Amino acid sequence: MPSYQAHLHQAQHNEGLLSELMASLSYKDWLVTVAFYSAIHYVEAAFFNNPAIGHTDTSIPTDPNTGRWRDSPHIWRMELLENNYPRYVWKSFRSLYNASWIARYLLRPGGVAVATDAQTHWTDNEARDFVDVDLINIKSALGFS
Amino acid sequence: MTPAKDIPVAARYIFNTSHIGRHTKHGYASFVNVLPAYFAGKYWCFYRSGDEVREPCRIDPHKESISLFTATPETITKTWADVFLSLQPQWYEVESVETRESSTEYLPLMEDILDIVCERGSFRHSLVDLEPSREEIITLAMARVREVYSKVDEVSAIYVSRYLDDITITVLLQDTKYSRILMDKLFEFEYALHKQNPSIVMEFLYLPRLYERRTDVIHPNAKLIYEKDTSAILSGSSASGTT
Repeated sequence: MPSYQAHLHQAQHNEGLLSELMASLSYKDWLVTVAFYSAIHYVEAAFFNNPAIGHTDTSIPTDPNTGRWRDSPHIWRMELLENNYPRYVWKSFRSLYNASWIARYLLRPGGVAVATDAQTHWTDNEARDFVDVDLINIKSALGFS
Repeated sequence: MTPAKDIPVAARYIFNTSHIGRHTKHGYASFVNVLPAYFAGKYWCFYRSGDEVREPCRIDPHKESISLFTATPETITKTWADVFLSLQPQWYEVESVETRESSTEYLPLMEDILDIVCERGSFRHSLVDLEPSREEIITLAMARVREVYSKVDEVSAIYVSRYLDDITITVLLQDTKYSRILMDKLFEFEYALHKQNPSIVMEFLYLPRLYERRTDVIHPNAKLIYEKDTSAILSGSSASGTT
């Protein structure tokens, strides 16, 4: 399990790349994806300092019969945010999660005509808001700003 | 139950909801679909103690319901009148209760109504500790999903797929273009649905409708539970049928 410092370092490392992506706005798919992965590490750093949680992967409930995780880490992380932090933190994280998911599927493997891609799916301002609104909300609420 | 002697004379009947269902001359009295935010997975009905007690039955939310959510405020009032008047006319006093458009706001409305009838001492209610099965919980949760998202103009279809204990709900949006305002609204609904259904794992995906034919995004065996074009509330048909 990575430490608080390890998560914080990775979050800030991702933000370094994010600032370059924000400067050009030429890779909005990667912008929203890096913003999401920066948010994940801020959230995990906050979880590390929360004795009721610790870490997403180590707190996922398991099925008593099969021993398998009940939820995927992404789903469980959302549930932890929903139950332990203000609603707007959940919403901002959810916004980044959804955007990064969309970014993965905008470019299709083939067969059906491409109708949109990351550059046109989000305007420049909409792309910036994932950082300036959502990521900032998360950092601020978790005490990292 | 409140002893009969304590009941005001004007209220000739005691209504007890400690049973989960009963047949009435008007059919099943079911409020499961009417106020899902309030009932939150429980099964509830009105029960008149003066009647012969019958075996409690589970209510099938697909078969017994009153569709308040698609009604105008005037219709809502009328529906309530139909329900309450059919039980005891003197009780009905919900005209002063302000109806609202959002389903989540029916919670205070329902509480107001219950307060009114309880204050009169002629009505008693309690939820029996009879847990619905997991399938019943999921069925009710999916009914809530349909109710909530079908009222959003930009939502064109909803697919549901299940794998082990996980339920993936894919909400297809009419417009291809991103809208933060719309997403904020959808996330609010999703948050409420998670809170209403804490015992089941639901993952929501929001995609433009042009993704509908992509089997790498929507599972071929996903069930179509809502389609705006036909205004259909569906019990479920395979997504593969649309490809």
